[in-house]
Amino acid sequence: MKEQLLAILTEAIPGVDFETETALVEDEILESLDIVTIVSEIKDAFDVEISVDDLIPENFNTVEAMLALIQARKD
Amino acid sequence: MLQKNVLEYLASSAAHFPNKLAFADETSQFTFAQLLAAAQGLGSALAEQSPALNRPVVVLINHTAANIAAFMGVLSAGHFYVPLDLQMPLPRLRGIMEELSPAALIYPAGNEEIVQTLSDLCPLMAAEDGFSYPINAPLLAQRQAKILDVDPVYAIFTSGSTGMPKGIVICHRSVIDFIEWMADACQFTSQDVLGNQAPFYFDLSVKDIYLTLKCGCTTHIIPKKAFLFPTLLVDFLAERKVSALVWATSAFHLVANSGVLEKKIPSHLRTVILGGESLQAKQLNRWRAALPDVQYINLYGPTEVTVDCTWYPITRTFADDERIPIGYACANKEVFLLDEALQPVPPGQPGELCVRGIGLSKGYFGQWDKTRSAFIQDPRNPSYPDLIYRTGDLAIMEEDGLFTFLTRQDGQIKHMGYRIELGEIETTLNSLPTIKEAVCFFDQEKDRIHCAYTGSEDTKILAKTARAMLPRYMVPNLYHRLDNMPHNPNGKIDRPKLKEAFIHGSSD
Repeated sequence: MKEQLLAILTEAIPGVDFETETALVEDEILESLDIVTIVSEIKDAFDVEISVDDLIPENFNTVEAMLALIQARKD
Repeated sequence: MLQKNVLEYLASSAAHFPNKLAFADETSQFTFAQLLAAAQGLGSALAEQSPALNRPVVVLINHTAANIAAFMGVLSAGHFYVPLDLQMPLPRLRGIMEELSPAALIYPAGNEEIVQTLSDLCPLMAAEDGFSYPINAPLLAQRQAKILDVDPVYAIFTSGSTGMPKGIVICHRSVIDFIEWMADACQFTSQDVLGNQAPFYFDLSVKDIYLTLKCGCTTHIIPKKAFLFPTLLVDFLAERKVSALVWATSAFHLVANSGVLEKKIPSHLRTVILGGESLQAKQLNRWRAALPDVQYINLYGPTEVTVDCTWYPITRTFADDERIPIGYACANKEVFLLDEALQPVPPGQPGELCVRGIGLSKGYFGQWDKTRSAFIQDPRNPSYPDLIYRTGDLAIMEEDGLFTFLTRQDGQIKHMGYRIELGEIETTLNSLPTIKEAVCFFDQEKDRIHCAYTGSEDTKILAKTARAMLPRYMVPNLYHRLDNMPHNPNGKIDRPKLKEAFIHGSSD
């Protein structure tokens, strides 16, 4: 699951080492169009529903946080 | 009397609404009176530095209200401003600065470390130091009296196909002409509250800035984070009672796609004005379903014609897959189509969209050849000098003068709301020693830039290098390392074949 998520992120935001970043939102690595793009690809790739209420900074600051969100919506 | 300088808007609003909020960001704000005072302080500091007039002054943008005060300060000194992104990679910033040789660089205090490396190019000034500088009113008045309406207000840089960005120079008369039309056509008053989305180095923001100054409205700068998390955005707009959005179409689409409008709406909106990219009916319909009483307006125009040249107020429903027109010519601009032989094209036939009028840019800063090929004599007028601008956009016109955009004629794309020349990305990547040949192409459907290349560079490292050399929106999304670059029988790179392989085909 992690590999697949990393592939989605690397394509959307090239040139960033996602595994070492811990503040993707605060450090402004994620920009305006990114979250909606990433979320729509996550929905397709993992077949999960992510609602607009899930779109909060805490869920997107690290790869682990995004994985936890995907896992929670899968369960 | 006819206005001749955009500063008259600021003077008038400062006289009528001195204590009204003009521009606000998350941490700072300026009333009209404060804006005028800060501008005159910074203007005085600049004016005392050098006797020349009409010189470019770079203003580094961190998207705050202080950026606007810095713009007004530069104009007060009798210069014109060049807004550049503070986050731009340094080599690119340096390249632009070398081309400009500006009279000064204004930066937001606290960024000394970044700007120090540019101190060999021109004097540096922290904006905040300028704002508190003692005002030298006689000197400013003396200099202002010498500024003509055909002198520049700003130069905005956009991507250039040969690797060097182009600085598009726009004069006072052009901005005044456009803003007078827009305020009237879109019914702006001092009651309006704008929610600014466009960065100030992007000419979309010219509308927010000068509508606010002309009409005495208030502009709230929307924090970047709000566009990542659309519920924050809707709360922000509702709390500040925002009545008008003048946004890049991509931001409008983003909000529609996020699904937030089905949950909550910014209830004070009266109008949403879009531009910068093709408006999609599917996303428009989601907005119209949530906010049916809002007036939606689609605008179109390249930076070279001063913001926009056509407009289309949406008055009917469009099917999800229907193309939305870019509309009719704005007042005092002629819009028409020419074929490849520069002959007028009859209604119903595609042609290159051309524009004539006072809104035309003075040209590209320091780039005479490029200026001459884009701004040409009107082929329909053999009698006296009369310039038109060739946009490079293909469009179609109906009998009643309604235009619909079709496509670009060259390698220019719109990605993440920005106008990008793929040639500029290629030139930058081809300058790397580990790259033999790099070619870029665009997947419009997925909004992804691809880069196919030959050479020894690893794809991951190439992505990192590209990120250090190019603005974020120009960094290719996907990299394909090839053993050999495909060429057609004429020896040119076979771009259709690459697109076929990596976009339409099964990929690598």
